[in-house]
Amino acid sequence: MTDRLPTESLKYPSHDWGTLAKNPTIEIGATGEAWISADRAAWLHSGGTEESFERAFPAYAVQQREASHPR
Amino acid sequence: MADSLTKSATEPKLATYEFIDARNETFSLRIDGALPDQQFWYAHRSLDLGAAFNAAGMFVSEDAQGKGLGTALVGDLVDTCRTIKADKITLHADRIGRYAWAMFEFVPDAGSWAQMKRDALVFLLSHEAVLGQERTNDFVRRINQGGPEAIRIIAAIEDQVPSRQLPHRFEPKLVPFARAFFLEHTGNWYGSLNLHDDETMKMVDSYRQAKKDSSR
Repeated sequence: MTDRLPTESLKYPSHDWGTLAKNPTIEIGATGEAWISADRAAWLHSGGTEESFERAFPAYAVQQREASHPR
Repeated sequence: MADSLTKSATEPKLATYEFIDARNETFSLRIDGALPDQQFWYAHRSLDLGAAFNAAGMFVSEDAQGKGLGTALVGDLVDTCRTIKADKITLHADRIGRYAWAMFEFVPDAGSWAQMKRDALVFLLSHEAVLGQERTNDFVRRINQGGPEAIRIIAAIEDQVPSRQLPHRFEPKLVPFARAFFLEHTGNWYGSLNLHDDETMKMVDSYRQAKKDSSR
């Protein structure tokens, strides 16, 4: 489909990092519980286990534990 | 149609249909919008045989980025697709979109994934010292065995690695692994969002809600 569009529309006057160049820590895209569950689904789908997921993404494991047992 | 595709942008806008082909049910539409302080955005959308919407191009000027307008415009596209019962949204992820669309649940097509997978394996192995041997091996195995949806595994790696592109004076700036990978290491990719996949759409809705809440 894109080959039928005028090519100048596909050129953007910005560089790769855009607004991230000013602040590389700015959040882009999904975060939180929904993202962790999508990531876990991809992990398990590729043959991984719950245990290896926790080892691969220790920060997520902590976040989820805290969410399920709030202090 | 133009209003539905950009309902989040309330400033003045101009829609231009670049072509309409009623017989094949296709059209291509570009919508340009003005923002305060001479900032601007545009969104280029086309519908292909009634089944797939192509987000052919989108740009938000630099000082207006990071405020959620890009996300809101793709959200409008998702809503329009639901209304007209389109099957999927396809796009060409370039520049910052290479990372942003991975975080918006878009999944690369087979050709893009083949290249991205090779790039990811090289990038993972070159950061083994940061990730640790066991985790690196785990990631390599999962990405090797997974299909295109394993892009989520790459996009979720948050360990800090040195950027090769961000300007720095002494030590390189540290950025999350996923950002460095998508923005500095791998190339542009083609991808799609499957509007019939309930899990994916749940995730997109929850993300849009979180974004709305945080901008309040």
